[in-house]
Amino acid sequence: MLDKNIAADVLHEAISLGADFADVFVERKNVQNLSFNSSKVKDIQSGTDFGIGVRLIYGKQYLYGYTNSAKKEDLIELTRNLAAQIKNSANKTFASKFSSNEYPMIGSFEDKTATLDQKVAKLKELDKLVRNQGEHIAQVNISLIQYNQQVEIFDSEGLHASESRPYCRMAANAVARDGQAQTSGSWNPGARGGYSFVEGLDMKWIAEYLGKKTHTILFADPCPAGTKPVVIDNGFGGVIFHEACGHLLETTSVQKKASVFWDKKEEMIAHEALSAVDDGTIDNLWGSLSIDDEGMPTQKTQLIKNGKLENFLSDRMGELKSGHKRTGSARRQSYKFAPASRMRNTFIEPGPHKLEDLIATMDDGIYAKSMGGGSVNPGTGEFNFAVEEGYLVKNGKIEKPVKGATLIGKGEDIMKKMSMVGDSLDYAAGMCGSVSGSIPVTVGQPPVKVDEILVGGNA
Amino acid sequence: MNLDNKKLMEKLVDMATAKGADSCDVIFNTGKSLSMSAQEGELDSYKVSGSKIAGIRVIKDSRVGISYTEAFDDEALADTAVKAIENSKFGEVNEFETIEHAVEEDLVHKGDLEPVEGEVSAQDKIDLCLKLESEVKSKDERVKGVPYNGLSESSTEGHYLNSLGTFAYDYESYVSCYTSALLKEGDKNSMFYYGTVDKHYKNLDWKKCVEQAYEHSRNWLDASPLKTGKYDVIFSIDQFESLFGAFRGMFSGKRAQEKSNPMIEQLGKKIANEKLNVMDMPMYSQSFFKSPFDSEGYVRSDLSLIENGVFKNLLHNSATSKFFKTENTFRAARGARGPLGVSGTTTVIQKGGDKSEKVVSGKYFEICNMQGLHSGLNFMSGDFSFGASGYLVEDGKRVQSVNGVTVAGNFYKMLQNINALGDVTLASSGRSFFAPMIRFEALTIAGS
Repeated sequence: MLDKNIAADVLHEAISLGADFADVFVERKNVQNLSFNSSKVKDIQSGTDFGIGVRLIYGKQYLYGYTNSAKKEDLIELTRNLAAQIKNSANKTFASKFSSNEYPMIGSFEDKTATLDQKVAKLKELDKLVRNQGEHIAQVNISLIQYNQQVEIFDSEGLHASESRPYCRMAANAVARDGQAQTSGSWNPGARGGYSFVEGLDMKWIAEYLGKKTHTILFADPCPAGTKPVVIDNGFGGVIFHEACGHLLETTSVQKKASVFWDKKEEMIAHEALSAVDDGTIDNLWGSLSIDDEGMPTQKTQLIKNGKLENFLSDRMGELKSGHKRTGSARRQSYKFAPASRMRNTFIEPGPHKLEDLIATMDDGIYAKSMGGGSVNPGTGEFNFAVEEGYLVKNGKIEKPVKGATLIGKGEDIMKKMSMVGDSLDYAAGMCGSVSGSIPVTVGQPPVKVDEILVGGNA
Repeated sequence: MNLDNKKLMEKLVDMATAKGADSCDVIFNTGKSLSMSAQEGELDSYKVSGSKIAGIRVIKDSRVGISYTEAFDDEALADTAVKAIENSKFGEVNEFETIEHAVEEDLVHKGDLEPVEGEVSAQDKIDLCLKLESEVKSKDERVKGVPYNGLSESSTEGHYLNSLGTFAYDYESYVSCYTSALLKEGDKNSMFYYGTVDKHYKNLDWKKCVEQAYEHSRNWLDASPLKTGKYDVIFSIDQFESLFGAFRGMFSGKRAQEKSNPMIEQLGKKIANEKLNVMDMPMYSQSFFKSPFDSEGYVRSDLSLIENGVFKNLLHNSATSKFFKTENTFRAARGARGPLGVSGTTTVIQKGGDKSEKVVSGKYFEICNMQGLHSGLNFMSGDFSFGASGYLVEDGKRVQSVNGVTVAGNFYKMLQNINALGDVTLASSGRSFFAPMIRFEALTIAGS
């Protein structure tokens, strides 16, 4: 996408102006979004994002700029503007040689050729199936999001790496109504790959899932508030680990000592029943990458093993500032952001228990079958998540559905209360927002029991 | 205003017209920004940017197609025009979405004639950025870090051009800063973040950021949960802006057209306490951003959304107003990448008649921070449940710092359950939302 000679000239300029390290990130993203509402095509959008980011590192400080121009003079001017902020006149030179990097390409769903007509037909099929789930379905909104992100990275250590990253996601949302009572539910599967991912989805299953879920929430009672045990089911339930612990293991917060775990490496930070990984190498998963946004091959990183903190997720700045080795975790939404250490596919590893066994241990608790999103304050570890579909459990048995529940707590407390781990691991796609923008990530877990957590509700 | 930008838009319009578009319009946005942050007494990061994006909407055979680009050579522009026309072929016939607004005279709005750039020296900016860290640290030895701090300046230019020659231009610039305070004492820790924005560095109230970040963080170090139960609640103006914003879709004509507005059947009916009056005011004098025209080039005027508790109007563009056979309220919104939608401007909740003493009398929970606003609510049902921090207040005096609780309720019912509406208008820190203190009755707080 960018002439090698121009990249070399920019890096030479940066190094001759005293930078200890510099890199150039080139991105072209082709996007096509199709949205469907009221059983009709609502919008079809397509477009191209293009831009180049230049980063200069001086000691432990970085300067970053971006532009839509690939012209040499514009990139050199940008580099000079950045370097002008630093009083450093060291006169070094860049060798102007790039080496070919070998790394395994992560697998992805085939980008099967499909016309817009075929895609529209697929959404129509799902729309019809969802509407057939019952009279309570008042509206269906479906989006098909496809984009291909091509990245190319050059750096002053001679690295030249590139990757084409295909993404495909469907977002299906059903609105349910009964008199004045209304609610909604959604199912948003995503994968690394092309349209064949959508062709492999079981539309009938998705329709039935949305029909049941919205019906359950619509007629559920408000959730009673209080401190209770909670069993969180698999798949998107993994958002609890993502928020309560994952963000606190990114050097983005660790390097600022803004994580409660910054000095806890090799210490027990979780219940011994719990092991967790962040793995960017799994074929077809939404958060997988062949290389990270610094051009480093991605990897599987064991975060916690039997409760002990083993590793942090680190990028170049994280390594410079915290000393933790890079893990292929440098990520960014686009050329408009400098990279930061971020999660990829993060999940709790399976344990020995059946879901029914976990539920049976609760005398008065909540079974969170489906979770919404959440957030965390890394400095204090305080987190929150929404329960989309929940059930009150009495004497080990599911009693009735409840709505409007939120779980809150502190990461360092809750990790020690995850005492039982189920055997059925599942993944779910999500978007994660943080310092380097919004990026695709996978969360995952088997069913997990939390011995005690504050449940917010409106009963 | 750069005439080259207008020429580029004209070129894109001409290309689309030559390729067979019946009509079209182009949004072209440019932006420049500078931001920096400090860590351990040194500049930690420094970012500069310049960006451009153009998006075209074409109408051909009563079907709509959209495309955008960040590359501006002739080939990229032609490809963008062709893609938009190709996309239109797969859209449904849409008799409501048309481009028919013709204005001969250009519409121009410059939010501030004095650009931010060059107002203070680069070194002054760096010094101010460093102060956002050092001033917080100097407050208290329990301050263990200022993990989030920074200074930024930004300017944006928005352009609109349609195939009938209507052209609108809007320029805005601003500076902003933020800081945080992470306090630790024994096993306890707390953190708060505060930011502010202004047109000029000289007016930027960075000291308030320092004070607010430190004060709340210090107070919450000794916070404890409330006992679970029902409490009257007053949200801080910034938190109420966030909560109100999460449910602002109830005013959307576009959502109503798409059958995703749960309040549409309540239009014209009483939905809130009769004391409540909500206005959308594009040129409100105290507002930070003025918004004189919409994304179809129509001039906006004030709009009543709720009047004496009655749901009066929706935010409409030309298409949604045609769909509902009602008047356009000129709230069209469109980004370069996206389709035609609607959005509000400055929200102003009119002050009520209750004296402060009445609003703060007795016991209530003052909420100064909420977590999980993006996930802990259901827009269709109105139900919400968030993590919250703040203070238990008795007769206007904070008697307990509160943390580790949830607040739950139903937004649409909450509008009916207003106990008191203050007689002083408050501005949010971004000066985009204005409201008096509002005391809501009996929300559910889960704590100890």
